[in-house]
Amino acid sequence: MSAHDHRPWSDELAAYALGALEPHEAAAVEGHLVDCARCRAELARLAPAVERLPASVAPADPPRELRRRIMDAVEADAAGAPETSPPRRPPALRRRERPAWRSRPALGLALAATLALGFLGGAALRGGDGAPQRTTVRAQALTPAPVRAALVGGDGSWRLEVARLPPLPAGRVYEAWIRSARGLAPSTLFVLSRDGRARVPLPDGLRAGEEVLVTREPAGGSATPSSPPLLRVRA
Amino acid sequence: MGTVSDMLEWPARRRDAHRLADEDLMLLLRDRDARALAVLYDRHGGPAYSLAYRIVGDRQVAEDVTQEAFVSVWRTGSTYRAARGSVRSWILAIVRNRAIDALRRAAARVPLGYDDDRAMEAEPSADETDRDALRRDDARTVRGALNDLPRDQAQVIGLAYFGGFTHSEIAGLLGLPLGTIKGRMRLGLEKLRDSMDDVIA
Repeated sequence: MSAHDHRPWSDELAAYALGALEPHEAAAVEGHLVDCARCRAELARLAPAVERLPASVAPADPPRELRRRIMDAVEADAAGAPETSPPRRPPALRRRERPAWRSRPALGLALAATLALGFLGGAALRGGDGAPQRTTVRAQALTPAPVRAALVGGDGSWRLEVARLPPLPAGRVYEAWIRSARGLAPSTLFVLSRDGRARVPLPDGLRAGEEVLVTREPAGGSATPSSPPLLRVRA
Repeated sequence: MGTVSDMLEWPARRRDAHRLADEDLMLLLRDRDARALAVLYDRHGGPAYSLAYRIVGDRQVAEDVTQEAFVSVWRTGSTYRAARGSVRSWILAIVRNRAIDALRRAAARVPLGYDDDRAMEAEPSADETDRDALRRDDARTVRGALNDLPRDQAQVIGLAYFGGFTHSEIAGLLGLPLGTIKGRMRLGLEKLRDSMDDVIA
C-alpha cells in the first residue's frame, strides 16, 4: 500500500491514540490494526507522545489522608468487605454540557488498555437482550462449571460478557483468545468482579466465523494457552 | 484480620517493597500484597492526583478519581502486561479514563460554559514546590515541547486528552472540518514524539 493510501489511517491513528474517536471508529481502527503491521508500528511510535502528556501537568499535592483512604479501601477489598469509604458523589464541575457519552476505548494506547474492568459492568447477560440492534451469541461451556457467557456486539465491535466463571486462584487471570484462519491470537486479559461477572472488550476485532476462547493463565497473560479452554463462542 | 501485615506471607518482601522495581511490585500485587499497592501509590499517587485534578478541575473529585483508580489497580493488577508499557503509563491511563468518566457524570448534571483555554494550558499551580525537582524538570521538558507546538495543534491535543472531547466534538467546538482536527492531532503528536527523541538523544 502506498504512503498516499495510508494518510487517512495515520490521521485516524493519532485520534485513536488520544482516545478521541467514537467507539465505532475506534473499532474500525482496531480491525485495521489486526491486519496492518505498518499501522501497528505507527501507533507504537505515537503512543509514547501521548504517554508523556501527563508529565506536562502542573504538580498538585494530594491530601495526606488520601493515602489512608485508599489503603482502607484496598484492605477492605482484600478482606472481602464492602469499601469503607466509597467515593463521594462528585460535586458540580465547571464544564460545558457534552453530548451523550459512551464508554470509549481506554486511551487507545497501543491497545495497552485492553483491561476488562469487570466490576464496572453492571448488566451482564440479561436473558433476552433488550437492545434491538445488538447481536448476542451464547457461548458453549467446555467445562462442567456452570459457565454462562455470550458475545454481544455488531458493526465489527464485540465484547464478551461473562457470568459464573469459577473464581481465579491467586496469581491467575482469565485470557480471551481469538481463533481465526491464521491461528490463535491472545486478546484481552480479565478478572471477575466480586459478583463473578466480567465485561470483556475485544479490541482486536472479530470477523464472522472467528471464535473466542477463554482460558486461565498465569498473571500477565500468556502468548499461547497453557490450560484447556473453559468456553467457546463463534462470531 | 485484614491489616496489611496480616496479609504478608514474606516479611522480607515487606521490608524490601520500597526497593523493588514497579514491574516486580506488580508481581507482589498479583499475590494480593497490599504493601505493593502502597508503594505504587507512594511513587505514582502524586502524578495520578495531579492528572486527575488537571482533568476534573476540582480537588474533591480528583481525590475520588485517584481513589477509584488505585482500587482498580489493586483489583486488576494481574491484567497489566509489561510488554505494553510502563506501570506508570498503565496507572495514568486508568486515572485519565476515570477522570473523563467523572467529567461525563458531572456534565450530565451541570450544563455550564466550557473554557477551552483551560483544556490546553498546563497552568502553573500555587502548590508547586521544589520538593520534586526531577518531576518538574520532566514536566518542563514536556511542557516546553507542548509550548513549541503550533497553538492549533496543542489546542486539539489538549481538548482531546485533558478535555475528553472526541474529534467530532472538537470539530464542532472550533467550527472546523473533521479532517483538519485529525490532521492537527497527527502533526502535533509527531512533533511531540520527535522533540522527545531529541531530548533522549
